[in-house]
Amino acid sequence: MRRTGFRGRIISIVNEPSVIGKSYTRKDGAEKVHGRIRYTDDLQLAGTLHAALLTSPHAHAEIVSIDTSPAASAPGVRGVATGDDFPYLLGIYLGDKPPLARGRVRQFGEPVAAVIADTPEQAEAALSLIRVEYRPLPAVLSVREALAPGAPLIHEEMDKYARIPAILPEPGSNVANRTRILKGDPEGAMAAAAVTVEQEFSFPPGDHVAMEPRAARAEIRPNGTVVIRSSTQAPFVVRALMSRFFDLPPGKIEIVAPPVGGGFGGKAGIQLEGLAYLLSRKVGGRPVRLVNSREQDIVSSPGHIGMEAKVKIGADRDGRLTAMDLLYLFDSGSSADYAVNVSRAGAIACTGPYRVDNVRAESLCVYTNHPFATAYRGFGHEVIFAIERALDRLADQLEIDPVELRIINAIRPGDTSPTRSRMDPNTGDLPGCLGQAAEMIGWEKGSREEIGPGRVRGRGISSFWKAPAMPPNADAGVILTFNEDGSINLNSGILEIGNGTYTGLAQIVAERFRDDPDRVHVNFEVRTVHSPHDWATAASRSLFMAGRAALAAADDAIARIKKIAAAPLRCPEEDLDVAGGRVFLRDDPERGLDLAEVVLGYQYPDGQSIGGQVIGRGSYISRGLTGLDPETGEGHPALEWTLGAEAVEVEVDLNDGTFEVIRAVCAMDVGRVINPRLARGNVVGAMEMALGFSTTEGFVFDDRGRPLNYLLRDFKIPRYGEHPRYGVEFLNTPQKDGPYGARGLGEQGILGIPGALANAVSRAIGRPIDSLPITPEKIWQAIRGGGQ
Amino acid sequence: MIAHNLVYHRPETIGEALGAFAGAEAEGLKPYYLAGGTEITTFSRRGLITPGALIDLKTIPECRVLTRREGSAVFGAGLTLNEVGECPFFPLLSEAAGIVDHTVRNRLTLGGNIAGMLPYRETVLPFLLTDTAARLAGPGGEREVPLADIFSRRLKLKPGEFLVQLRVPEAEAGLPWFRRRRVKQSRLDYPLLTICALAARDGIRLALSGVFDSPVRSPEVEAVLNDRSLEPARRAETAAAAFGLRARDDQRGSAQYREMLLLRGLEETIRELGGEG
Ligand SMILES: Cc1cc2nc3c(=O)[nH]c(=O)nc-3n(C[C@H](O)[C@H](O)[C@H](O)COP(=O)(O)OP(=O)(O)OC[C@H]3O[C@@H](n4cnc5c(N)ncnc54)[C@H](O)[C@@H]3O)c2cc1C
Repeated sequence: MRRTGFRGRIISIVNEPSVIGKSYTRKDGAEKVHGRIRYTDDLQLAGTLHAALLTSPHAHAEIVSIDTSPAASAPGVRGVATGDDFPYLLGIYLGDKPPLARGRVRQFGEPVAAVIADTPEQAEAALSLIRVEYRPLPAVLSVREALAPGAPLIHEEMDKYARIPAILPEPGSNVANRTRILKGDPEGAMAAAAVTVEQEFSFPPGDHVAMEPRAARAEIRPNGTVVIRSSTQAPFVVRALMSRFFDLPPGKIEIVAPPVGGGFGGKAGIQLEGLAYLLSRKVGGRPVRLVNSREQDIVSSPGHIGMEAKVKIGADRDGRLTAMDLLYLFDSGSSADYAVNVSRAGAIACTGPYRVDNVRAESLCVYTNHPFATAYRGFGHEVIFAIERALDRLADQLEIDPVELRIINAIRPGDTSPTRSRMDPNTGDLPGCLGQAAEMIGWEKGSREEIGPGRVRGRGISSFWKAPAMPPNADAGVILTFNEDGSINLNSGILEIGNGTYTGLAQIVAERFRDDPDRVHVNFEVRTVHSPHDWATAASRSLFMAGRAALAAADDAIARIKKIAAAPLRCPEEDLDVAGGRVFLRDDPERGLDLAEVVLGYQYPDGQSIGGQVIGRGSYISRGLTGLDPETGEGHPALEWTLGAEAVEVEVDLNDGTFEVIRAVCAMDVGRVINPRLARGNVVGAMEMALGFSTTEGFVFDDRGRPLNYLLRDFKIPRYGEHPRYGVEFLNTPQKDGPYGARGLGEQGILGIPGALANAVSRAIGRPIDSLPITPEKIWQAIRGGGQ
Repeated sequence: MIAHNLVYHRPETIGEALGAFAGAEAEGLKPYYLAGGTEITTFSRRGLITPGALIDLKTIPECRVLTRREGSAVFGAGLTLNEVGECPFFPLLSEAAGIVDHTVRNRLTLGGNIAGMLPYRETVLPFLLTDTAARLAGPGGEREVPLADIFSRRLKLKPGEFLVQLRVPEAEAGLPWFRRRRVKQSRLDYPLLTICALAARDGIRLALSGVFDSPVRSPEVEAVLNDRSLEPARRAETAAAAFGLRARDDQRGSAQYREMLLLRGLEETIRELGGEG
């Protein structure tokens, strides 16, 4: 047991070190390491029916006919559904996706029919009895192909789709969204630039591969209430969308969201919930369980977006960036889902964290016949990969040290972002991060070092930045209730998706109460019927926004406690203080009450009671955010920017391209570290995820657009024992509006790694590597082809 | 999920296993021998096979043998690759068993790797380089045959037959060895190239997997490798050509890259084992 020494030491409490900045064990830790945490599909409900999905073997095809009758009469089958049964179009921003394909399939793995049966085995067995006749259509295999004149249209009826105003689809083309940035005089500045570099970059779509495949169980109660238990990062988004799509009153929809076995963005928005609801409706409202197989989770549900980019940078002789001309083509795959906002986020962050006064950028979200894309940790900030590779080229052309080049141009308070919003005094110390990362990676030894015959080490650096990409009215709420011993229960709409946010929230509340975080109990399961509203557990904003709500709730509860205690203590409320589980007179701490005597109402010795229970309420809504001007992108979309730098050291065998990542480091300005071990865990996890998608992941397609590697046998993700040495350091420029000065850090560790890695490899081999994933064969080809 | 029903047998003796197999066949259930089950389950899930009965070989004592006797090292087909990897009897085999990671190797078996459906079969390579005898059990009884006689691209078993043990002369198991393995990227992946080689008195013996469609050992290639009239670099080149096979070209790597890896692997084998200065 950890001794905390909080209780009964009131006098010295003010001098106790704060609970902020300490590595308390994460509250979900024991449940997880014992394998006993209950994810969505770990609870069985008697009477549940089981659904199975038949999916498309083609990337693009017309559905000529479907014969479901043999399946419908198979043993145990309660219902069979096809696209025609469900005339709806779903989608978080752009309603383009039928729950089951209708008339045509737009990607390999798209659900075409569903069977509902008494057992999972019966449902699965009946699938093989469904006969689908397809007529293959030419598949669109890349964003470039999708934009070429005469390309097949993947969504012919785009003009009819419902959408939110921030998304600008272009009917008659494959463009699902286009975001424009225009700042200063990019053309003039580019023409006047002393030096320019121009290059193309790309990476393929892939997947999150969260450990928990998506799962949903839906039922319709006799009173009409729709209850859905789902692995989701965004239960309130699900509720709102379900209400909109199916014309249900929101109060009649109850989303139950247990902890999530890895979110990474893949469980934001709406996933299986809509289809699960429709399937339940098909069988008279009985509970229906719809759970992805691993393969469906990889290929039928959305994954990581792909990108092709063209970057042109102009600079003066001293290395000052004067202009950028940027084209980002995001590969949305068959549906828009979150991808239309991912491309928008890429536009908002398009220059990387640098001061550039003249910018033109176009960021397009483009339909293809690839598996569709959604949010993925980093959310469009993969554009940083392209910028950072181009900057390394520029450094070489200018003969400036790459770290120096970045420090010269690092964005600072008072500069403006691509959307012309001013970087406020909370802006983190990017030059400091760059210096720190360079030191950690051993930059003084140079970026290329021969260490033996045919063996070299390369070092590469990258900056990064990210702000939450979220609606301007994103919010959070916290409710605190109390137990007989004076301890606290914390309820919010935040999901435990792996980040350990609840532990941080408990620390924030404990800090306000100057009590032990063990006395703050957290509720991991969110239920839309009683949890406070929350936009979504996404965008690295949970600790920030729910943290602010938690502070407000704690202050509210403390005020109430003082008000109740003031009567029996016969003093003005202002004279009271709360700490160590007591409320007491600030100037005479011996005179006070245990919180246990107050929080459920105070009872006088004669039995009379006052006050009633204390309920702390806190809410927060993002401040001062706006949309973007459609022509210039001008606006203020960013709540807070997290800045940092990462560096990677690799060792390459020049003979065959085999390489190893020796070390990866990150220096990030997080404002204030609430829990160092959790913060490091988030950053290292993100770095590892980045190394995965930068070196081993990404779909490989055949010439008809079908992914070849959607089995885990072939889709290689990093495993324990495969990682390099990690180093993480935090800088502390306070985010003055963040809880105790903290800002978001959940995603950011992923952002600089692809660029730093590609820079390290490129420097080691003396040839540019401009696409991901970086494999030995790619390196070998680059070395070989370099002589041309 | 495996959506169809099947019967599971757990025999204690070779005879019971053979009986269960024959019984299942008689009932019209398609029987499969089961070892670690990694292929059986994953292939069944995908509908590539539909076993009606599984006969588990892991509880048969003969399949679990790991011993040295009468000048031979004996490896039961039911040993896990970790058990094989941790055993010092045949250093090249221990090395060859070091595929994937520890957790997965707790399931993978020697017999499953050699008799299975996947084309890599990396643990067969060391056996192919030695005078290995394979002990088999089948409807006609048990027999012991030279592995070389029943391995050509894959293990050629008679219907209902299974691999019980592999027996390697200790003198050969102790020969100097060389192994080189190259992958697309993750070392947990299947190989683009795995070379296993021994330095015997009569020269280098070499078998490989990953480059071509199946594991190979070729006398023609070895003749070139050991031809000291040729410069080492020339020898490697000629040896690579002497396979007379086309390199695989798939999602893991191009034929061109595999050919380069092969050439370099052969050069390195000659350097390490060829007794060249
Ligand atoms: C993640 C992963 C990575 C892998 N990487 C590699 C790699 O890099 N290189 C490589 O070579 N392999 C690799 N494999 C393949 C693996 O080695 C084989 O598939 C595995 O060894 C099969 O063993 P098993 O005991 O699980 O077989 P099972 O699934 O039990 O059986 C496989 C087949 O062999 C038959 N069989 C099993 N034992 C016997 C026997 N004694 N006699 C006759 N028939 C028998 C079964 O009937 C079945 O048809 C990998 C496998 C996995 C899961």
